[in-house]
Amino acid sequence: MNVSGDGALIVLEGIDKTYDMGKAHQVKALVDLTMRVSSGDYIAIMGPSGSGKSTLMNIIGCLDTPTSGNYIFEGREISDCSEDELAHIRNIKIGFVFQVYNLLPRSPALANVELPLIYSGVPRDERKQRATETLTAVGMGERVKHKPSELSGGERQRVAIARALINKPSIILADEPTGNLDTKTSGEIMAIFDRLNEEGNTIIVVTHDPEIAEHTKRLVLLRDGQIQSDEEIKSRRNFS
Amino acid sequence: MGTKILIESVIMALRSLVTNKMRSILTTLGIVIGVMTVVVLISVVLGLNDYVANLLSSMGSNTFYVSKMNPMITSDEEWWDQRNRPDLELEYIDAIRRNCPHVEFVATRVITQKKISYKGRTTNYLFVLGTNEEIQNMDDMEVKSGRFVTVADELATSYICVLGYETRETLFGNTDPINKRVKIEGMPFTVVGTLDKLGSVFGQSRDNIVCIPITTFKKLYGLNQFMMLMVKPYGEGSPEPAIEEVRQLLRRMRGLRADEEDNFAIRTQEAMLSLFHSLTGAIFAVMIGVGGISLVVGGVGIMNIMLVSVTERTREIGIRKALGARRRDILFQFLTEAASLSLVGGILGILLGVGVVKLLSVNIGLPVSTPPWVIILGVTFSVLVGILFGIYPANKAARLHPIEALRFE
Ligand SMILES: Nc1ncnc2c1ncn2[C@@H]1O[C@H](COP(=O)(O)OP(=O)(O)O)[C@@H](O)[C@H]1O
Ligand SMILES: [Mg+2]
Repeated sequence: MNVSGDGALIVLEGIDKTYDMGKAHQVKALVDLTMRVSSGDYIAIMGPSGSGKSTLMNIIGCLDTPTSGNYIFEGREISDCSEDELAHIRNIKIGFVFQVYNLLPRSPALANVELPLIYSGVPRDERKQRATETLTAVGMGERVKHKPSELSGGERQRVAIARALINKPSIILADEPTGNLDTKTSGEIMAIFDRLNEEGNTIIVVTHDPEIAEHTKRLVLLRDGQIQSDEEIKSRRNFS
Repeated sequence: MGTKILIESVIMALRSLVTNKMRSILTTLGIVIGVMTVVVLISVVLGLNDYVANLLSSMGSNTFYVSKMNPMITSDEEWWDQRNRPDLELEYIDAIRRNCPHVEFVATRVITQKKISYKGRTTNYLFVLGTNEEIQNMDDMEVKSGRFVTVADELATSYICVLGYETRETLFGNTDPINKRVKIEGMPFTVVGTLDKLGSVFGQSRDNIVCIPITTFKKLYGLNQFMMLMVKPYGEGSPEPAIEEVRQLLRRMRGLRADEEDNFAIRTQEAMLSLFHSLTGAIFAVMIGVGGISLVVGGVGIMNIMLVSVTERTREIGIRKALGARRRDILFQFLTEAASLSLVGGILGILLGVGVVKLLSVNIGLPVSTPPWVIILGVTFSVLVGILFGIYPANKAARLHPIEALRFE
């Protein structure tokens, strides 16, 4: 099957991820997983704890490599990529949003959002300008000089989203982005993702919360490292 | 792209320096001490070199020195042997003048310490220099007013003296001392001249002196084993013919048989220079040792603190990698940080070193010289040490797996 020729953004085929825990013990985090993501998709991944959601996101995000199987990103076989090429893909093609924000604690919001641009060699002035614009777009225009410790959880996550967006990535990967937030703030964060998807961004969100999943258009259920179901969300709410 | 990351890294490095002040100070202490030591020792050695080179060139490069004892004595017996030799005699000077056709002139000096008084005022012990007219050709003593000791004074054993700058100030203040009578240990001397300021060397003022004719010196105090003849051959060529003439003359005058060894010492400038260079060579060796050891200690300190920093910032490294930093970006960041850290140490070391050099030159009168390349050397060395000892921690950081780094608590 020629998976790379059909225009999908992401094709995962027979992906295994096995962690070796000493001689005898192995953890199979993903087992023969096959999945495709098209441009413009808005996907929720749900499943019990330990079902492999984060592992899957890390592989899609090129932070980790599968033990076996094919991963084709924009028509390119990822397992052929060097470490530097993976770093480059992470830098300009992927926007990662983490549950724990993962901001640099001592740097102000602006510097945090600028960071990916430093690694793509964007000049200083342009960096400042784009970071300011992107922060403004997520409603943080007034907080560019604040350090993470001076921001609420929701605000930190907005900064993290701005950082993920700064290089106009092909896909935004959010691993439990609302896991540390209250319901109201979670709704606000999801509203940002909704809008980004409407603007054409491809987004995958991992969540435990069915209400969060209802923001998306497609739900993938994981169990024991395998896809249990993958279907369109019919009850999709219109939040906007 | 490199320079952008460089600037970011330097800024980050300096920021983390400021946030961890105490730690940074302790870390860079080794570098500070190492660079300071190097700056001070190089400045002193260069200063001494300049000083000696000046001194020797003012004497004429082929001048040689005759004394009773060899200053490069290596054992006690040798010292006692040489000590028991007969002292040099004043008659040698005139004999050399008359019998050695290769010799242009002979200067002499012998020193003792006495007090001088004028009216109510008395100086502390100062140097009384028994000498002759010719010394002016070999020393940097300049007559400020009046005249110096002359051959006529020497032949007449006159009770005249020439005052050093400080001696004149102490005894006469602003009044004119010429033709006044001072007393050197009770004996009256007529002041015939004064000297210009000479400054001080090794903490010794060279202006606290008084010069009298060598003959008068001998009559009052006797000559001693430190009496020295400074012999200048004609021209600028090899001193060997003149040395041979003087040697044979002295052997005759001191009644040595053909099979006996010389019982006096003749040293050329070359020999003095090689003595001096073996001394400065030793200082350089010590410098390389001390400086090298402190730099290594400093480097290990830097390595240690960088390893701590890498561990503390594992998560940050994970974040950077997740956002697209390549290995070499992380490597570069931590190398820059290590280099900045030791550069700060190096700059502190240079500042302290220059300060110590100033103190040495002002308070002890040590001749010093700190050319700009010493500072460039200090900066370069500290940066190199930082980079060298930063490689291991930086490489450790660069090789972290992004996921494992992000998981680090
Ligand atoms: N680095 C690792 N080493 C060993 N086992 C791991 C590692 N990462 C994940 N796992 C295991 O893989 C399985 C899937 O983990 P994960 O993808 O984090 O699940 P989820 O995000 O769905 O909770 C779990 O059993 C987990 O313990
Ligand atoms: Mg997870």
